[in-house]
Amino acid sequence: MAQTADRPSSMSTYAVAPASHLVDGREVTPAITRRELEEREIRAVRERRRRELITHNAARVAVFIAVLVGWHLLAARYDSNLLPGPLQTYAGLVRSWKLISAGAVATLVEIGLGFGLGVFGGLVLGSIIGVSKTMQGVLHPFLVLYQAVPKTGLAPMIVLILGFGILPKVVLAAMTAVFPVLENTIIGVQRVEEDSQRLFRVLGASPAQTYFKLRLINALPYIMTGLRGAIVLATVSVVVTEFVAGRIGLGAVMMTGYAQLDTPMVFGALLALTAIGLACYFTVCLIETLVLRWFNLELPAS
Amino acid sequence: MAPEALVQPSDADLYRHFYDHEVREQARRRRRARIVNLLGRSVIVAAFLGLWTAAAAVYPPIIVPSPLATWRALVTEIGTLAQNTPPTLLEIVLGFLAGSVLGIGLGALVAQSRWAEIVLRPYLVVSQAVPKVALAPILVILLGYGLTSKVTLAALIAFFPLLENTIAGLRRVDLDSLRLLQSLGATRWQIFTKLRVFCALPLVFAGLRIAAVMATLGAIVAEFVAGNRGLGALLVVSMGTFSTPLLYATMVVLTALAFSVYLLATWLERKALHRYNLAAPRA
Amino acid sequence: MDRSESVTQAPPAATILDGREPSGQRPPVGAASRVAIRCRDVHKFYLAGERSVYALKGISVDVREREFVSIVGKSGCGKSTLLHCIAGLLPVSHGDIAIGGEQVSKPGRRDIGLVFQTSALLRWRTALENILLPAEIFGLPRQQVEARARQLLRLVEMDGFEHQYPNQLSGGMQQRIAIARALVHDPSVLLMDEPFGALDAQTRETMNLELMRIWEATPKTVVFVTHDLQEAAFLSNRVIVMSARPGTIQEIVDVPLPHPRGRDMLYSPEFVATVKRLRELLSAQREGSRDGT
Repeated sequence: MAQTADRPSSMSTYAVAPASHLVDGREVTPAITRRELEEREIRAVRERRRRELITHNAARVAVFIAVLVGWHLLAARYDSNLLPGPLQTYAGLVRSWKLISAGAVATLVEIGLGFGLGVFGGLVLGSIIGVSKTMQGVLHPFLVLYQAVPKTGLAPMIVLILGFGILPKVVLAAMTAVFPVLENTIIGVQRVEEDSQRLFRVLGASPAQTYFKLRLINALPYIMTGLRGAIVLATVSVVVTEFVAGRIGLGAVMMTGYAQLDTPMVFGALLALTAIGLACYFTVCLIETLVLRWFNLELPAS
Repeated sequence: MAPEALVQPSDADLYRHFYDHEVREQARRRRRARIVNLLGRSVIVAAFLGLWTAAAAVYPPIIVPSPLATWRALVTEIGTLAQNTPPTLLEIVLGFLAGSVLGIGLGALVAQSRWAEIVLRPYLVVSQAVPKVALAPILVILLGYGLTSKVTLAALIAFFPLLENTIAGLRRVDLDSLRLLQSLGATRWQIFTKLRVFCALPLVFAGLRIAAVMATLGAIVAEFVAGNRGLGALLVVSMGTFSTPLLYATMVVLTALAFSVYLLATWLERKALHRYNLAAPRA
Repeated sequence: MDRSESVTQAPPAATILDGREPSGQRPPVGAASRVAIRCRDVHKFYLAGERSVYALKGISVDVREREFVSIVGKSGCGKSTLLHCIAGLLPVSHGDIAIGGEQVSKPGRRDIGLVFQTSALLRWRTALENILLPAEIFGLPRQQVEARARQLLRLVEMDGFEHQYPNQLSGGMQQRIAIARALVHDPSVLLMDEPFGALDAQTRETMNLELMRIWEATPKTVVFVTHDLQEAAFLSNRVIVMSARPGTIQEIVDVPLPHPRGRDMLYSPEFVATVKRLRELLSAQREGSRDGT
């Protein structure tokens, strides 16, 4: 490769010595450096990302509006007590606001308590079971049974024992939420790199040390996934129990509207419930991000 | 006569010595594990029955009936129970089928277009977070007290995990195999049927297992709300009339039903994966 | 030229970690003729699912203090198994292993440092925190150990990287941290299981030279498992050649080259002859098994 006599001093150390070629008998050397190529590439990628962001979000908004309009058009053909459209739903929400907001607070408290209890139980039990192969062997069929049967079916039974207040909802939510956390804790605590386990054994680490310094932290990504499953299940449980023991909470409000044929109120409560469900889920996602970032366990965005 | 040389154990002798030892050790370990498992499980079942009986003694029988009372109710009310089981089963099966077909079909469609998948992803995430069972009252209002509302709820709840798993499964393709087929000039359809489908199978069948449980849940919840027919309705009705032994007996039947559905789905999953040698290797 | 017969006592080697400059003279190995690792008639047999594996048969070998010994052999010949037995990670089916005179019965000896092929760094700890891990487990006060950890970072030429996480480091860098971690509690024995096996050829060469430099600075008894014959010959005083199924010691080859080793020695006739001998031994194995013996 021909080197030009007067190199521009701005060339980086890795500059590709430009190949000169003859054009019209004159020597032409394209003065492109590695840094320039790199910058050009980065700029192109950034442009593409920005463009995609706009088109994707525009499409998403379009889908949302289309669904909303479709709903409105469909509902227009029916009585508002059968299928209220978006406008009637909003009206129903406003009209029954006191009822709905009170129900929302109750539901939120129930979800929070049930989730917290379930997560705690899942972590503790999962830790105990996860480190003991014998326990896993013994408990295996029971765990499968627990997973297979929808615990929400227990709602009537629990309501009978615990009454119509907040307690049965919290208890059932905890019973449902415990499983994903339990399962994921067990998996995470076990699925440790073989060599890391050997390292701790060679160092003669006590079981407690191995657990807290290695297994538990290694299990964190799995546990976070379990948390996400747990909050979804807790929400579902609380709603179903409120259907069955309809006195407190948004589920109860829905049942009231259902009984009184006040369908806009039912839809309004559903809307509130959707908002609560989303808020809870994204809170857990936020917790997940923060925890994983703190322990530097997050996977790089590919 | 020359003195006898010291006899060294031959390779075969050594091998056999250690082999026998290890095999005996392993058999001993397995036997002990089996005993521990059996013992542990019996203890748990006994403890469960014991706690139940104790609770029945503490609480009035109208709140917690004893295991014996439950068993008696199971026997005497077998007619009612037998009457209400087929509707629930039908709802579960139909809901499962509808949800699965729609979920897999739509998933396959969405997976074809990267663009569609990216645009719809936030909606998929949102649909996960929203409790779809909350639609039960609305569905009953719209579709009546009959089969339709329950099947719809079951299908709706079963649909989403399958949709997601199908999309994820079809995306998850071994890159090198993909490049191979592309280099052979395979059409998109050929790549789909010869590669993507198989890569997706494990996730799809896992999704089917989840869908089975979800369909059961949907059927039960819809029956809670509608309260006219089926095991879920029976639960709510017996709760309302304080016919607690019947409630508990229904729980037993419902648990058996749900567990059977799950076992069936798991068995199907295992058979299908085994047929195509896709089963995950045992750790 | 068998240096193992010499009995002159040499002064303890000055190391960088003592804060003194190395004198440039290293005591010949054999001078400290005490035995660091002794294996006597070690057999290891285990069942793995359907298969039965006779991994080690009648292994007897002595490794002297501050000797660098490599174990080579084809895959599955039991070299890693032997290393794990020495570390106490696997119980032996028969025979005994002693390190520094004490029997190895279970893991947890503080005179061993272990380096794995996969570096096994905890990805939620920074480089420095990873190096401090053994000290944490032993319950040593952090102040005391942190200075040493930083010294080791300098030794492996990774100072400046204390607060980087493993996923931010290349493979070679991760192994340097792993080596520093293995040295932080000043073990007398270093066991290395194909530590550079996952690195590309260039990095492996660099790491070999680095390992030699580190070993000069902190002389330890090293048992190094590898499948790379050149690497084994370059690094060690002696090379143990193992044959598979069942795993036995075929021969122990002396490497007649002085330490410190440099790149130029790769072309010396002694080196070439050693590698040739190692290759011959391994080829002989292949033919032997074809006979059905």
